[in-house]
Amino acid sequence: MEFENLQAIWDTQNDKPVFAMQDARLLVALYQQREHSRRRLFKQYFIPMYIVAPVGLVGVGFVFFAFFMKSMYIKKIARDFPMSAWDYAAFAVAAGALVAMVVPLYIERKRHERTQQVFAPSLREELDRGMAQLDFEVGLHSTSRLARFYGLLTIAVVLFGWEVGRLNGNPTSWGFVWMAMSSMFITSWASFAIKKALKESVLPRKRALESMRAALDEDYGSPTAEIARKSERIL
Amino acid sequence: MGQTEQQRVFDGWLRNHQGLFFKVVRAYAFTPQDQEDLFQEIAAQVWRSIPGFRGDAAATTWIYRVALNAAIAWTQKERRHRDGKQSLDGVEPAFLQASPAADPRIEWLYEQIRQLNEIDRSLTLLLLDGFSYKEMAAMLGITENYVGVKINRIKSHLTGKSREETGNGI
Repeated sequence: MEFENLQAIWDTQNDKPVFAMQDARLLVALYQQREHSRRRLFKQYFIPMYIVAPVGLVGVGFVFFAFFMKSMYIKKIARDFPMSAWDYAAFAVAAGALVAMVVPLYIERKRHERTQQVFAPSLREELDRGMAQLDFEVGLHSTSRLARFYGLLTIAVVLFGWEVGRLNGNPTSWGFVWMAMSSMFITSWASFAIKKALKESVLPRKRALESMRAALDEDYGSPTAEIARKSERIL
Repeated sequence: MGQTEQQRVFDGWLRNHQGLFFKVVRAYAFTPQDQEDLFQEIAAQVWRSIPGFRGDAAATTWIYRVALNAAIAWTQKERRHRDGKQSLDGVEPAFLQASPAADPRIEWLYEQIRQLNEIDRSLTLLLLDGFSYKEMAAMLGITENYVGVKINRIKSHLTGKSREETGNGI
């Protein structure tokens, strides 16, 4: 084939657009991305939570049972002491903290999933759901939620460790308390750093969805015009 | 030049020369994400260049010059960026989607262009769009003689490849 023929082939693309905004394909791509985001969130955030809380509860229950049995039935040795009312309260608070840590999350996720599980019938609705998913993801890492989560976790871990110490004949396990509190402080500090990184990764995606949504609302007509406007906003 | 005037020129260029933008984008960026990224980069550079446009050259020539320079700079920047980082999987869905019904012969041409180095890619685009050697030399900041040598090589490369592919309907 001669070069002129190649040029003639090249020129045919001037007659029709090379790119096109394809609503159906975009809708499916957005849906797949949202599904991926939901699965990832479930695996990385909720499953660990759903494991940690019940395991913690079993641990608290086990220590309570052991301490209770020791107080009631086992012959005491010199350094042993029975459970006091404060010990009962500590077990109850530790268990309550674990429950309070996970139940509101479970309820909130259920509520959110009800709106997310259905395939959105239109691009506009898919964009709305995509934005809701991102809001939910960011909301899980909000400062108040993280503070509450780590507050409750610290209470549960400290009380659990304290009671384990008492079960083993140490009436005041201050060393463990300080160790637990410092490790909780480090963990919560790390999670605040993760929160920042997450926000930085989510916000551009949200802005992209918002600008597509605005393009649909204002009926700009073509993605080219939309991108031109996006570029203008960037400038 | 006022903001409104700049906007008017930009809208006009984008409306009338969108094919040019897309050609450069497709020649330099391969994934939908990269294509969108490069499109925005080119659009931003073209916008910035508008106050400097005096009308001495045709708008197409000006846009091509800015777009090709932006594309080459973007390619180098991306290469440096990717040398140290993994690609981001599933970041953004493609905002622009290549038409599935695109002419396979044009796809083949883009495939061949993508295999060239950055300057040759620019020359091929300009050549296929009918620019003179003089215009190409001015746009890319190289001598006309060098353009001539390069173009001869590109032409024989492309025609040679097309002959190899004739059996495949190209």
